[in-house]
Amino acid sequence: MKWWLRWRRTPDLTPEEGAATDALVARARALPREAEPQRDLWLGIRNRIELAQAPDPARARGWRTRVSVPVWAASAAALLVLAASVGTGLWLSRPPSLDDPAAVRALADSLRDRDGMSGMRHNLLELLGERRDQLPPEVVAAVEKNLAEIDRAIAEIHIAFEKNPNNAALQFLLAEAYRREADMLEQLEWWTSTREPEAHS
Amino acid sequence: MLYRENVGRVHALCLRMARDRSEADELTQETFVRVWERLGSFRGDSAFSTWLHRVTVNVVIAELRRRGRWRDRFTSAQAEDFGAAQPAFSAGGDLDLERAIARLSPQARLVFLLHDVEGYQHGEIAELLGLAVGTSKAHLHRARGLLREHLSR
Repeated sequence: MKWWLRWRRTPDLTPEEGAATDALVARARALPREAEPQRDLWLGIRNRIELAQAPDPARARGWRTRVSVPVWAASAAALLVLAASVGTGLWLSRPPSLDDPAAVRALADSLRDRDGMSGMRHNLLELLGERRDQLPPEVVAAVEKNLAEIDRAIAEIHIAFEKNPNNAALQFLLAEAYRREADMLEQLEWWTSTREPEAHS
Repeated sequence: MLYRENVGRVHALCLRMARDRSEADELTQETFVRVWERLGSFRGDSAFSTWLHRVTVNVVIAELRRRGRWRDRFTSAQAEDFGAAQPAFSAGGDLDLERAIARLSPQARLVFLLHDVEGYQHGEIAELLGLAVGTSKAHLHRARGLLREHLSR
């Protein structure tokens, strides 16, 4: 007997009411299970995650005060903590897994543009080299340090990937790591292109 | 991406439970933030979709409680208003049934959604909503009766 038919024959129901209840529950079970929101909710989710994950608000606030570095600095710091937790095996000891193979494939697909990401990264690093003089030394140092740590985290995720290639959480984190790195470099490009050199002295 | 793969399912659940589109948007966002925070605690004992579903239900109920609606709506016996509420889903699916569900009182609607649409057992519903099992059964019985009556008109 279907689970949803267990309650259909309650003593006070007439046969007609019981049949109507069966039909009602069948209709309820057939209701659509998905409804896409009418607006993109991801940006708000991302911002809230970044705010919640920022490990050192005082430092991020200091950056913004001194050189007007936007939220990406805190975002990158948040990523580092998260990525480091992967590298140290915190997540690997309790690997989440998706039960839906299509979801795993979709996550893997999102990583296929790794080559394109690498090219963009290379170009932006060149840009950082060219505009190094326009940036306060502490910003250059912080950016380079963050990039190095993100690269290290990405390398560690890749190592973990080899052991567990279908782990969806790792795929998600890797995609996020690439995206955060790209975001940071894009913000750097924007920042240097919209400020006069003397503004940073 | 976890969000892209699951947002439709999460949003549908929030929409039916909250019955308001903007509120459902907020609850969907809150759910994914919570998932992010708790992903490390997911041990794989159940399917990811089951775990995500439970997180969503918990978020919606907690939010209803936080906003003070819970006490007002769930502890008083309210008469169903079959003249005001709008269905959560405005297009596609079974609009007559959606409209009728939307017009149930909050307690009857939530119990009906959790039991007959989502497949929860009365024990689980009672735990989630802070009700006695018998109360959950009574709400379901009442909801089904009202829906049968409304749909037969």
